Order: sequence, then C-alpha cells, then structure tokens
Amino acid sequence: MTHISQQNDTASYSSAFNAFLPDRVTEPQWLNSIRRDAFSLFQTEGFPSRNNEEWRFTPLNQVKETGYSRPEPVEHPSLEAIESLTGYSKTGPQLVFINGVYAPELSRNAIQTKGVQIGSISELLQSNDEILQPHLAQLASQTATPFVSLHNSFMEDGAAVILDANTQLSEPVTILYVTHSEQPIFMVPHTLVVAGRSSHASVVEVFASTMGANYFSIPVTEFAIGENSDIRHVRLNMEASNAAHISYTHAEIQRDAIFASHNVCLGGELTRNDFYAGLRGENIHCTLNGVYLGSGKQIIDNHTSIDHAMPHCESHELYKGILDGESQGVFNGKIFVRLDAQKTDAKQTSQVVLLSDLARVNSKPQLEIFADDVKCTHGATIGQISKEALFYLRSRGLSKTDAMAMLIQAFVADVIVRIPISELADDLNAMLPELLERK
Amino acid sequence: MSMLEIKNLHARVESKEILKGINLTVNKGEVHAIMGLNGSGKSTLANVLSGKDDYTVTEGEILFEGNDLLDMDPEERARAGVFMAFQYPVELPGVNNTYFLKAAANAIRKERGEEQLDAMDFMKLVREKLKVLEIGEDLLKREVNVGFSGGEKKRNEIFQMAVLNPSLAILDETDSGLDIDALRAVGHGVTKLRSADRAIVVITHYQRLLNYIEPDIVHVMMDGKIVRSGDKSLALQLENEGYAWLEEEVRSGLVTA
Ligand SMILES: Nc1ncnc2c1ncn2[C@@H]1O[C@H](COP(=O)(O)OP(=O)(O)OP(=O)(O)O)[C@@H](O)[C@H]1O
Ligand SMILES: [Mg+2]
Repeated sequence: MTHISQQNDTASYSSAFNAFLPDRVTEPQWLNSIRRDAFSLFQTEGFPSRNNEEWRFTPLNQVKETGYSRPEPVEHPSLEAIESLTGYSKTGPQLVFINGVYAPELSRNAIQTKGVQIGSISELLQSNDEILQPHLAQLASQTATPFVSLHNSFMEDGAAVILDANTQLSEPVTILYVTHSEQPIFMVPHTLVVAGRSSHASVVEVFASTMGANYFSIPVTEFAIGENSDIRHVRLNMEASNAAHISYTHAEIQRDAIFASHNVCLGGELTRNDFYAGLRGENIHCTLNGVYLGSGKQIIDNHTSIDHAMPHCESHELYKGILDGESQGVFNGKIFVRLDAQKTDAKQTSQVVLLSDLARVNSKPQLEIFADDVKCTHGATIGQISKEALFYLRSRGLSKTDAMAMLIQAFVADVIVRIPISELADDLNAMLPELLERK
Repeated sequence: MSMLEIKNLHARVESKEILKGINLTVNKGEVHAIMGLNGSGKSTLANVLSGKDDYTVTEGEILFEGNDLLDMDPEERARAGVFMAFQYPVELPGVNNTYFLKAAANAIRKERGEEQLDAMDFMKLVREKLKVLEIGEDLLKREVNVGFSGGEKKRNEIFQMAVLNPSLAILDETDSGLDIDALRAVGHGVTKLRSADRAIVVITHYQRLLNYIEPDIVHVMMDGKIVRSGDKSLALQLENEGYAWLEEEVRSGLVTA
C-alpha cells in the first residue's frame, strides 16, 4: 500500500505518483503526458493556501493531514447493497465504480442505442482511446484548481457517455461512485460527457459510501456540449459523514444548446464543488441549480462560474441551503459577461435557511460585466423558518418535527421540482424529512 | 363537564397585560359569540386558546374537556379537537394545500385511534366539503393561502375546519370583509358544524354571520374582560346602537367589570 506521509502535503503524493506511473506504461501516450504535466503543475502550485481568496472558507486541514492512500482491490458489495444506498429506483443504463474502479458485474450498459457509447474510461482507453482523446482531462484543466491537477495525475477510470449527433437517450444514465473501504483512501473518478450536435441525454452522478470512513473523493466531470443539444445533469453527494469531497465540473457549451445541472449536497464532512460553464455560442440556456443540507460540523462550499462569452444567452442559478448545527455553507457565484456578450440575461439567486444559531453561511455574488446591453440580476437571502408558519401548521395538528420538515420541503421545492428526473425529484422530496431527522 | 372552562385568565404580551381576568364556560352544543371594540383582547384570547407562544399567561386556568389546555402544545390541542380559524391566516409558500391538509387530518385521526386516510378516501372527503362550501377544486392545487384574497383565505380556514371536524371551533373574525358569496360559504360551513356534541365560539364585529348561526350566548369584551353576556338580542343591540351605551354603563359602575 502506498501510504502518504503526514508531514508534507504535496511531496507526500509524489511517492504515490511514482509508484503509480509504472502501472500506466501501456496507456496512450497523449494521456501519459497529460498526467505528467498535471502532476508537475500540482507540485509547483501545491494546495491552495488559506490566503487564497477562492479557498478562504474551505479548511483543508483534513485533506492535508490525513494520510490518504491509493485504493487497493476489494471484494465488491452486492448490487442490492449498492442500490439501497441511493434510495430511488433507477431504470436505464447504470455504471458502478467501487473505489473509483469500474465494476462491470454491477453495471448495466448493454443498451446499445446506435451512435451512443456508454462505458468505463478504463475500457475505452484500451479499445477506442481516439474518442476520448479530444476532450479527456483537457476541459477542466483550462480553468484548473490544484485539485484538478491532482485528479488528472491519478485519473485512470470513470464513466464516459459519448453521443453522436442526433442521438437521444430516453432514460437517464446513472453513474454510481461508491466508496467501499475502511482505509483512508483517495479516489479520482472521472466523468466525461461528449454530446454531439442535437443530441439529448440526462446523466446522474451519485457519490455514496458503504461505510463511514474518512476518505477523499476528488471527482472531475467534463462536458463537451455540442450545438443545439440538450443535456441534463444531476450530481448527488451522499458521501459518508467523515469524508472529504472536492469536485470540479466543467462544461463547454456550443450555440443553441441547453445545459442544466442540479447539484444536491447531502453528505460529507467537507464538500467543495466548483462548477464552470463556458458559453461559447449564441442562444445557450444554462442552468446551475443547487440544494444543500448541512448539519453537525459539515462544510458545504459551492463555487459556480458562468462565462458569458457570446450574445443572446441565458443563465439561471438558484441555490438553496438549509444549515443546522454548526454547519457552514458557502455560495460563491461568479458571472462574467464579456464585451461581446450583448443581450445576456443572467439571473442568480441564493437563499439559505439557518436552523441553528451556530450555523453560518457566506453568500457572495461576483459579477463582472463588460458588455453594456445586458440584464443581470442577483439576490441573496438568509433567513429562519418562520415562527408563524410553524405555529400555523402545529395548530392544525402536525408535530413540530413534521411541520418543520414540511416547511423545509416547501423551501427547497422549487429547486427539487426542476430536477429533470422525476423519480429522483420525488424520492429526494420524500427523503427530506428522514434526512433532516437523521441529521 | 363543560367543554371549555376559562377561569380568571390573565395574559400579557411582553410586559403589557392584555387579558385581565376572563371567565367563560362553553358547553357542548352551544354557540357563543364574542364581540367587542378593536383592541379589546378578542384575538389575544383566541390565540391563547390555540397555544401561540407570544403570550404569557400570568394567572388563571383553562380546562378543555377537563384537561389543562395550557399544558398542551398547539398540536396536542388540535388533536384533542380544538380548531382555530385565524383572523389573519399565514401564507405558506411551497406548501401544497391538499398535502398539508391530508397530513393534518391524518395526524388528528392517528391521535383518535382512527384509520389513516389514503389518497382516495381523502380526496372523496375533500371534494364533498368543497361542494358544500361552494369552493372550486383549484384550491386543492394551490399553495396554502399564497396569493389568496382575504375572502379566499377565510374560506380556506372554514374548509380546513370542515375537513378536520373539530369538537371546539373558534372563529376569529372569519366573517370580516367577506363578499356575500364568501359569507354564505362561511355561514354554511359553520352551520354544518353545529351539533349537540360540538361547540363553536364566533368572534365577530357584525350581526351578518350570526344570521346564519344563531348564538346561544353573546359576550362583550372590553379592555381584556368580558363586561357583559346576554342572549342573541345583545348582538342585535350592539349592531344597531354601537358600544357607547355599554361603555358608559361600565364606566358608571353599572356593570361589574
Ligand atoms: N403580539 C402582540 N404584540 C404586541 N401587542 C399585541 C400583540 N397581540 C395583541 N397585542 C395588543 O393587545 C391588544 C389586544 O389586541 P387583540 O388583537 O387581542 O384585539 P382584538 O380584540 O382582537 O381587536 P380586533 O377587533 O381589532 O381584532 C391590542 O392593544 C394589541 O395591540
Ligand atoms: Mg382580533
């Protein structure tokens, strides 16, 4: 096992990297050089410091101080055990990864719609690496954080969804990244979605764990979204309560396309998600929504960045948080409107309900607007559950707990109903009271 | 045993005493009206009965079917059969009316040891009540009280009452500001509820609603006390002559307040 020593944060990943490289001698040359470049960048940059404005509210002690190691092969849990982690009933293609490694016996990707490839990155690298080569590990690195570099250094598996022009998937593709380990391991699962012109699909990524260990998940999700396509994305963080999860999602979007991403954060001790959407053509509709539930000492930090580079695009962001205990939430929403991006219509809303006196939130819009004929609005509110509303429900016979759950469901309802997979939306809604009670 | 017994009730908001010794007994089958000028403490009394925690009871007691009402949480009171139609019902954005009411009905049924209503039974019950109250079914799809006119909110209170089927209903100015159709709906709703094993307390400024539901006893509140009780003719007299004569009598000590 390649343990990472505790005293030194980036140098400690060097031994892991050096031990890992010989395993990769047979991989395509293009990927190997991306990997080497990524690691040298990571070594040069190191982890973000607390003085780095972008990471001010993201304490990285856990991540720096825990000796995370690369996962070793394990016996896989049963399909039932895995299905039960997520609650909602899924049909359609499903790719399962255990500790970041593809588990074919737990996956269902036999449906072969013509012009659609759904499979593991590890298999595609062997059989057909040309279809990955234009994009894999190259989109997110344009706007990289050190964690994207770290991810790309160790990336070897994950899910690929490749849609040819004019293809459609009638059922959502579910990608389950399941951690099954008692050891503190780190994983770098990668999702790549390439959507050809006028294609349509929904992709759900679920991050969950069979145990309560401290582990470190560093996922990167890349979208290359072609002209006039319609791509829906849900990422559901149900990580173990001791885990750290630092993710990066990057979308490159071409003209007339629709991209809607829904970010649901429930688990993890530390969660940091970065979303970047580059709007590269006219008439793009981009939605980045989120809902997060924090309790205990959880930290849930969401950074979004929407880059309006071309005219006549719309972007919508609606983030809602519920924070209990001593949990902390962060919402940082950047919107760039470049000189050429006239007639941009950008709307950003962040709303938080604090359930305890010790819960905290930092909500920060950052608008940088260089075009002069645009409509950009942003609003942030922080509130409590209304005492009057709570009393009204109780006066009709609902217990305090049920009344609270109903009001919280109501608060997040407008984010949940927009989740394009109705079974998932219904299940999330039904799960909420239980999730809140468990917290 | 009386259904409701209020003895020497004193209550304050912050440091201000508002109820200054209320005595009131309501028996099964009775309809009581409580009238009185603005600010005399009618809603305060109703809110104390429903368990709103803005108020501190400093003296006195309230028994509901022999039990200490003040010792019960708002939901326990509701489950025991107390229903309050609020003067100013709260808006609940995002909460669907049907979903809310079904949860409430089942919480109350559970307490009574009755079977839970499934979606079908519940819809049947709800449709029947809507029909009686002449309320359109679109109400079911709406968020509780959100964007409702004043009259719609009051009708929704009566609709909830009809579904929840309480043994003691307190209506705080449910008739104020209603158009004639809404008043008829409210009037029918209340009349339907009148029965030998229920009691109704109607807080009102006007005679109109009392034409639908004739009160057995009419009380008048002034400055935190009930200063006079009488039969239905007292309400008519107040409607016609106002309160000045009664205030005069109270001031000159003709009434023991
Ligand atoms: N929550 C509160 N905070 C402060 N003062 C209050 C509160 N509730 C009632 N009061 C005060 O108590 C007094 C009695 O108010 P209440 O609402 O009980 O009167 P009411 O008889 O219902 O009047 P109306 O006929 O106008 O409805 C008023 O002076 C009012 O301002
Ligand atoms: Mg009042």
